[in-house]
Amino acid sequence: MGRRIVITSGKGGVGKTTIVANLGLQLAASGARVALVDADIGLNNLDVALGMEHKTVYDIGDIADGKCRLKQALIRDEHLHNLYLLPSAKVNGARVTTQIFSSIVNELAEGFEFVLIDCPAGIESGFHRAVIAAHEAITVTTPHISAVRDADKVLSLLSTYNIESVALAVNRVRGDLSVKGSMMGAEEIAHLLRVPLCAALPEDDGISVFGIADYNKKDKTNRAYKLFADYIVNGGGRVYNCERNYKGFFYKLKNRED
Amino acid sequence: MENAGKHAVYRLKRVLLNDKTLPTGLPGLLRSDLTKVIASYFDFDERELEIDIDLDASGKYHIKIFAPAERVKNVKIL
Repeated sequence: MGRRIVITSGKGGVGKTTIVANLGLQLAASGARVALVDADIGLNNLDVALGMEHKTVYDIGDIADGKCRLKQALIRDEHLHNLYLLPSAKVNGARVTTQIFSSIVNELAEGFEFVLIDCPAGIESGFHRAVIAAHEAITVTTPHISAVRDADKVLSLLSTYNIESVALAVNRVRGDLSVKGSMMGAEEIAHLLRVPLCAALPEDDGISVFGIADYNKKDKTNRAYKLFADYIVNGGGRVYNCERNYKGFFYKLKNRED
Repeated sequence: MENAGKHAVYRLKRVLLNDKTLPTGLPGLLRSDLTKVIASYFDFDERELEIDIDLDASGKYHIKIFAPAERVKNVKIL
């Protein structure tokens, strides 16, 4: 049975969808069969993040209505043939009940090694539907007080569900600021929230513009996501150090203020 | 700007501490469960049971239980 991992945050706009897309790409690039599920009904964007928005024929709402089978709704990535997307319904989320959603995720887990669930923002019914279907959770935050505060509340809520493991991913980390003490670092945030850190993902203009990283490129973002994927596969390991490029004699020499 | 990170950590700690509230009904449930457990080992008056839940500056809960009991019950210890 594949692993069912929900990516959640509480606060919107911290990068859950971007992380689901990029983590999914990295896991698939390493050879795993991966299904990405957009659980955000109404404000869905995982299809756009993956560049698959023009390929949607059926979605999870159609499966709930009995209009199609699960296989018919899955969209295969055109480059990584072991990566699939199950798009969300655009409207009327009530018909995708918690039970139906969980049974769809369970069916996916029979054919995929990883099922990543993109949870909607907030802590209402959409959150509940997504979390109930998962066995593991990754809580996403950014180094901003309001985001960390909401992540803390989500972590408390997750403890009331049947979730086997919870970890923290800190997105949009500015290594240049945290090395100077101008911004909280990822490890510091994980320590405050008393949760293991599974990923520190650097701020990247390319991601902001294009949404997904080129997983073949050897840049800081890909290194960070590669370590993230390794952490998920191995159940632990190294986390990318966002400050590594901003330390050392030559960096300080280059950036000294006269 | 250089101390902004430290200041943010301080503010965050304060915010997280202020946000820590016990779920509604938890004290009542805890009392009911503790009464059952203690009563299976000791003869005690549940009206005298006191439960104190405090939060320290680091966000840890300290649970203190005071339950005066008259005698130990005959319990089979395997």
